[in-house]
Amino acid sequence: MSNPEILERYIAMARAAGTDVECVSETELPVRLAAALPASGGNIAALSASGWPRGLRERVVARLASSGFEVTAPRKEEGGGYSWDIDRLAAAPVGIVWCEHYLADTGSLVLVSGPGMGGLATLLPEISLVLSPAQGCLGDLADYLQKTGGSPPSRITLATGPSRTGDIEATMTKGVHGPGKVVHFIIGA
Amino acid sequence: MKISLLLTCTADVLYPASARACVRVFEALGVEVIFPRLQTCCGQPWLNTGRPDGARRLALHFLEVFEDAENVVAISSSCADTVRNHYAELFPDSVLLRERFQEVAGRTYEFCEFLHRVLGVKNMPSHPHPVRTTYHSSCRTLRGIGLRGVAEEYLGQMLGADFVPLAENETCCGFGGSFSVKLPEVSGRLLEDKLQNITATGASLVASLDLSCLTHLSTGAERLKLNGIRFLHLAELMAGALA
Amino acid sequence: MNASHNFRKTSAAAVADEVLGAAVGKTANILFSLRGAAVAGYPGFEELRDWGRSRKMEVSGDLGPYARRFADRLEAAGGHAHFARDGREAVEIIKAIAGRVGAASAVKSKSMTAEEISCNEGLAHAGVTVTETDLGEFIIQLAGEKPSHIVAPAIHKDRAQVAELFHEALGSAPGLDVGDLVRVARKALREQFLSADIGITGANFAVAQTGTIAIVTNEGNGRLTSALPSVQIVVAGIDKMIPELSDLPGFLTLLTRSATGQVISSYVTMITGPRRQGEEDGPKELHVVLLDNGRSALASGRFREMLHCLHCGACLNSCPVYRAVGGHAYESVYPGPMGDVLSPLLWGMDAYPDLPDACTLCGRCAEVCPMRIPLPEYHRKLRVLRAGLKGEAAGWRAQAWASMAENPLLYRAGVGAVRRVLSHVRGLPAKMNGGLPGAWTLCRELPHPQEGPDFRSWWEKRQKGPSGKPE
Repeated sequence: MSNPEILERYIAMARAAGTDVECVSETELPVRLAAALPASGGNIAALSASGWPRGLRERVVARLASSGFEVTAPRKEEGGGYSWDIDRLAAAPVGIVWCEHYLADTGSLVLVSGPGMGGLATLLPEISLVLSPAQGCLGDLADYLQKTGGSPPSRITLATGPSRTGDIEATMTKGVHGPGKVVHFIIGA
Repeated sequence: MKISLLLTCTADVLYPASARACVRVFEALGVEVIFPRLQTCCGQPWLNTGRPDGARRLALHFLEVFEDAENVVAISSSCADTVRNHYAELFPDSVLLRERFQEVAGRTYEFCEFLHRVLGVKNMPSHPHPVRTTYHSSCRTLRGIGLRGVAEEYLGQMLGADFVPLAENETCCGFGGSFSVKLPEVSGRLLEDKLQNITATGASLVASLDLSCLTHLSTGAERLKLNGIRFLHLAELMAGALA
Repeated sequence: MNASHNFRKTSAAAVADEVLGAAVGKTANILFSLRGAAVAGYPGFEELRDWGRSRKMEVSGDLGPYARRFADRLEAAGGHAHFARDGREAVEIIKAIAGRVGAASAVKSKSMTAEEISCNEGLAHAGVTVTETDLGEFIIQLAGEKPSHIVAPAIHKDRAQVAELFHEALGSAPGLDVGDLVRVARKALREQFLSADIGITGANFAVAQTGTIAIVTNEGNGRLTSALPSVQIVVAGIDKMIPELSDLPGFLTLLTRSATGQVISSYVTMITGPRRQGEEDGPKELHVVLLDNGRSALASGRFREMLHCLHCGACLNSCPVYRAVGGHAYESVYPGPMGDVLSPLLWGMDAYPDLPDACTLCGRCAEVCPMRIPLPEYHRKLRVLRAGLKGEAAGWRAQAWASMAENPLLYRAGVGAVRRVLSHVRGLPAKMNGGLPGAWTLCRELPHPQEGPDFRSWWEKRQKGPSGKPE
């Protein structure tokens, strides 16, 4: 499948799983991002520290500031390792990360661990905003695993739609432990 | 074409009219019926209660009686299933016996399956006296024989709008052989659920291809005083339509 | 287990419970239909089942070497592998880890294998409080009960019962709806996640090639449990091995479509070793307890394919008996068809003498099992095994009946006698206890032969008729 085809399939599958998919140009991203920010629940945004394309993170931070949001992010410590301010993270109603790859077959985001990659920002806040490049769409998990060449990162999470449960009378309910809302911005699609 | 009728012990005891109807259907379709009189029970009760020795003895008896038959047709699905899907594995130590059982299994059919798959019967004539009828598709018909939708199609042709499909038609009626007496409370619950679905169709006839299920359903219906419902083998309706 | 399990007694009590029957029936039905739709929507599913079975055949044929390879790769990635022969050893290993790190609290993501070894009870003895974080598990932990389904543990409770429970245990308002109940649980459990010393999870798959553990959840509790606490303990049966990372996509498809009818669960987490240099989340210590507990013995026996079970729960949802009685009547971690087979094999036929009978042989479980485990056949085999243990297989009764049935003359005489009795006897007393007629007439009358002559007499008369074909 060509890129436009798998991208189309991704969008259909992700939407079916409950993800809000937004195709945006780089210029309109800040405005669209701001529109997805929560109106209540606090003004802290949890932001990953690493993995971003050059310049984009700074633009996101600037936009958050003009929307009245403070940023909390994994901080680099003296030994070179990253750590969250867990209280600030727990208080953030929204998390924002960069995600390089996502899978058409299942509509999944591929969230990988790494210093400053900020996986918890996609898990603790009620709203998860994820930014990806249009050319990052892969066919399926097999395609991604092939890229890892048999030596995977410490954690790979396929996140597909919001956190949900059917444990009470099989009634689907969103936002159990993780986000109840996931917005995926695909840039340049 | 010839068939050797596998009467089954259930028909021997309880369903002679169903068996007679099978014979009439075959004769109406130009099939010669042979009834090997030395036949007895297929041994399923032993197979299902952990007594393979007994099952083996009856399997060997079956082989003796039916091995030379052109086709074997059982009038109850679970017996056809026993011959077809379980005999060979009773003899893990004998390649020769397994082969002989597999060979005869390849020529053994359930009644309605034979009409559909071997005779290629596409159409059943209208029944002269249709009544509102539903169909219990037994577990062994569905999953042992692998026959889905065929009986329903014939019923539709014979009865038109008087054939009413049954809700939850792939769910067990709760018989299960020894299950019915080992766990009678659970068996009774499943039976009651099935009868409830049957009552909901408003049918006064219930057809099936498995005589064990028919026995279970009819005796349960009698207990619940559902006296307006009759339970019979599909062949009885076909015999009426083909007469 | 002290006394042996009496399924007739527990199942009879369960079918009398209307709320239970309605709740289990509703959820099992929904899961069953979701599975049906998901499988129908995946054209290659049957081939995928064959593939999955063949891959698991490779593993179950070589269980020890696969588990050792997994352990080596895990250690190479910085994790710790522990082999446990049985549940007691596994619990000791877990307690020792908890003791060494001075743990007081643990959060746990649903694991049937941890249930199998009574992990929570063991840790409680060591002074560690374990909080279940899967919503269903959390509900039953509050209620002081056991899971009643391997995927939907609180399947036996309806919304009203959960609302009542939260009201009493957590002080929430009475009569909340499902959405509100979920919010209450989120808040209560979030605090536990942030403060727990240990995270305990199961494993859906363990990849021998890379030492990777895969955990599948919808709620995100599996992710949190393996991201926040500084120590993670994974409890995995050695049957959870799959050969390579490239096998994972296929097995995930088989699992999630069969379990909940989902294309994929919300979160699939693949963990390869503990947190690495510079990373801000994930456990600093990762321990994987590889549990045998009878699995090696299964691998070499007649029930080997039980080791292929993905614990998807499709057989439970399809089973008429499970749907009617729910999980608790089985008095085992593993209920339903897979449990009927596993419980007597793991804990002994003496402990679960009735479970081989908890099956109508309807075959629906085998039809939906993603790994094509021949569950009805295994029920039959267990009955043979049990009859052998009791010395019944070659018992005089079974033999006498077989002798009669294989002799055409005796058989015909017997059929005639039974026909005469059934033609005349009507209405046995409904509560004749003890013997088989009593059990039969509990909910049924005795059968009556159809009218007219017996078939054989009819046939013989017809053959002798003047035209060859009378009537």
